[in-house]
Amino acid sequence: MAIFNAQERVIECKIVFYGPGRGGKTTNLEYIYKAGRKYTTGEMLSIDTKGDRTLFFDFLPIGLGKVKGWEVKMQLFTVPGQVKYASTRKMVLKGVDGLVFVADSLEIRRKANILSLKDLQDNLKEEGKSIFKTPVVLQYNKRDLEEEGLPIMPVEMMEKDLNTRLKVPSFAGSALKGTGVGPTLKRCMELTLKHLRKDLDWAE
Amino acid sequence: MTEQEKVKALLKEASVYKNQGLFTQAKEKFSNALEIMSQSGALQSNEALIADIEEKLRELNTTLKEIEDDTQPPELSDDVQELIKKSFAFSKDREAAAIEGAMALAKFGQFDKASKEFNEILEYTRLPVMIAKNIIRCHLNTSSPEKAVEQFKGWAGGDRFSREEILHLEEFLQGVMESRGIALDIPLMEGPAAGTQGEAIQEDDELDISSVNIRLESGSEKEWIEDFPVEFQSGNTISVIVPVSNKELVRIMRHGMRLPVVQCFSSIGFILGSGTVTGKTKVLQGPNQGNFMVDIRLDD
Repeated sequence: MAIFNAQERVIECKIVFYGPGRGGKTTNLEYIYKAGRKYTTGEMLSIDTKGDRTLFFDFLPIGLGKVKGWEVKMQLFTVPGQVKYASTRKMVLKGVDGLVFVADSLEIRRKANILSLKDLQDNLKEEGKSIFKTPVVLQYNKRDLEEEGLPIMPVEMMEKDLNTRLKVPSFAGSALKGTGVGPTLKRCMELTLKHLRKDLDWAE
Repeated sequence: MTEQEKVKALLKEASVYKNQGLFTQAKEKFSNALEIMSQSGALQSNEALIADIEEKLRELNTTLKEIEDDTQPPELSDDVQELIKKSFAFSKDREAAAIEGAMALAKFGQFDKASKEFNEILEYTRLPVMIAKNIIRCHLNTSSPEKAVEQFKGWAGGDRFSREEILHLEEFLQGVMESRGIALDIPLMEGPAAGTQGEAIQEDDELDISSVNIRLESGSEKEWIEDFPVEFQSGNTISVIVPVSNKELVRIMRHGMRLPVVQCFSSIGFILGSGTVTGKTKVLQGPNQGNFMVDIRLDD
């Protein structure tokens, strides 16, 4: 639920990084924080627990500057991926404007990806939103592990598993190395702003 | 691929998974490697490697147990608490947004901060009784029943609440203390004079529910009914505690689950209703640490 301040001509949107536990959501944000310092408008906040697992969420505020005369600010959140934090995921998802689904390319995480996407769909539904009408971008993370000889899924398989019905933009990436992180976020922001403009006619 | 190569590949995979934090998967691969070695005459003799893998498995078991047992939330900074308060309040109405923020803090286990916020809201709210109850609940969730009683005494001696409201709060406080098996000296107030009717208590038009009985729709415990004390209430959404020891119930009470029969007990009597499970999260601190808090939205 973007916040519009007509007086100051500021628009604030919320983008949530969703996906299975240990899939690289926090690493995405860490990379954005390190590599995109000129866009960040505050410190990155992480609330993690044993084994660097996200307990509540990570938060990173960024500013995009002026778009059609409006100052655009984005709040990036991650959700805790672990299955047991379902309630927290729901809370973090409240008021979301755009989504990045970070899927794990490791073969052994195939089922976890599918279950997490289903969880996202259910939680959006609970919020009265459809995953098909919400700006979503997929990121197939950890592609770099192929170089280490680990069994990872072909992109085609991940597309079939996760994107057959969604038909949203998808990017192969490695959050650890920064590959694909920028394009994923950029596309998600574009879709989000386009969606808001269409929905709320904010730029007219 | 020879057995030796298989073991080598499995160990490499396991190490990467371990580094990735995928501990269960790492454990599985280490175990697979160990199994192959134990069945191979040539590899059985590599006692050093077997001992090394067994050590790694022990370490993984310890780590997994630590993760499972790590229920203490970190001490959140003021900045993060403010962020939670602001980020999870969506109402345009100032008071409603403040309540949402305080409820979010409580849900994230920040009961002291939530209590502070509720106390600030109490200064101007139109719903003082509902706010007071949430303050009491916050105190009880931080294992501070004495603070709850102390605060109640303050209310009883002040002019924020009417006499009827104080009586209502006293009854509520006693009820929640009893349900938790806490015996504390609560100063008993005298009730309204015989034959008179106390003033109606303004409480957001919501019925204060002290406990619920739930009959499950499906699963192996179809006819199972249990008494759940209500931990938090906001409008028609209540939060109840499900003990972690009741594994079957913890397993089946999932988001979206329909509860066709919910018996609600309140100070004015018993009401039959229905509801839906809207959330389940592990309690990270307080007397219910380790148990699960289940949110149930009651049907209108």
